[in-house]
Formats: sequence, structure tokens, C-alpha cells
Amino acid sequence: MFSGFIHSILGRLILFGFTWALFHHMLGGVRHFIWDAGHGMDDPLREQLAQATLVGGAVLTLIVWAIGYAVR
Amino acid sequence: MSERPSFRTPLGRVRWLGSAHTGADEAMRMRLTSLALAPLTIAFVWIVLSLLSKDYNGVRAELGEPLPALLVLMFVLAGVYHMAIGMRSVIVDYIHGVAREWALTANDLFCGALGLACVYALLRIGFV
Repeated sequence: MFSGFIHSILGRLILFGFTWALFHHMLGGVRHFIWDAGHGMDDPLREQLAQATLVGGAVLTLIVWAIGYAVR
Repeated sequence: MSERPSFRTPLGRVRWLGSAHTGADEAMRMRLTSLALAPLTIAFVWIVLSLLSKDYNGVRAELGEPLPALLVLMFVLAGVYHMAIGMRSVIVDYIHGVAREWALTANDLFCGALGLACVYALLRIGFV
């Protein structure tokens, strides 16, 4: 039952969104660690870090899913 | 701030405005769980993705292995605790009055139940 759902388009979409949310949140946390270490709070770098979080989360998700489909 | 010179000490100025008590402790717990979750998240996503191509018995067999089971167990425990304190700080920041108390209680109960359900499921797969 669960297997059927997770292999449907909707199930895949939810799982994809979940991995994206996880990676995005993880990179946001890494950003907080960088701030805690006292770096990355000045003007150009903090904006770049925000964009890197946004792009990085999507890229990591796509890489992982590409690998997932490739090895299947 | 008033423009006139004040004789009040910095401590006297902030006293009774609210207490910090456990704030630093919570922040350190947040960092500790984040640190644990960064590698655990990668491991968890990897394990879940490897389960996608398996059928029911294959999934049970994989999650019954010690290493995947332990990694998912650690991810769940650190993750649920991380989620509980994260949600708690959102509630404390944005909800006020009696609603805050209800929200905090609901948060604790939900996170406790979710964590217990995940641990139960994993142990059942591993040992039953």
C-alpha cells in the first residue's frame, strides 16, 4: 500500500520535496555554523551565502536524485 | 533611551525585563543536534533512496541490518529533538498568552509521540 503510493507521481513529488527541504535546511544550518564562527556577516558575503544556500539545496537534491535514478 | 544621564547600572536596567535561564542551554543543544544531523541527513537520504527500488521484504531486510538501522535511529532521535526545540523557539517567539502554553504542550506531545512511533517501528523491523 505504502509502496504503491511512494512509487506514484504524487509520492515521488512528496519525497523529492522532502529531500529538497532537508538539504535546504541543512545548508541553512551550515550557514549558522559559519556565522557562529564569526565569519560571513559582511555585506557581499552574507548575500552570497544566502544565494548559495538557495541554489546549493536545489543542486544537492538534483544530484542525489540523478544518482538514485542512475543506479536503479 | 532617555537623553539625560542616568545613574542606573546596566544590570538594573535589564533586571525584571524577563529571564534568560535556559536560553544558552537550548542554543547549545540546537548546535549539538545540528552537528549530528548534518552527516546523518546525508546518510538518511542515501538509505531512503536505496530503499526505493526494493520491495517490502527488501526494505525490511535492509532496515534490519545493524548499520542502516542505527543510522536511521540516530537520525530520528537527533531529528525529533532538533525539531522539538526549533518549533518551541518559534512558538515562544510568535504565540502569546494561553495559546502559547497549549502550543508548547501540543508540540512536546507531538514530537514525543512521533519519536516513539519511529523508534518502535525501527525496533520492530529489527527484532520481530
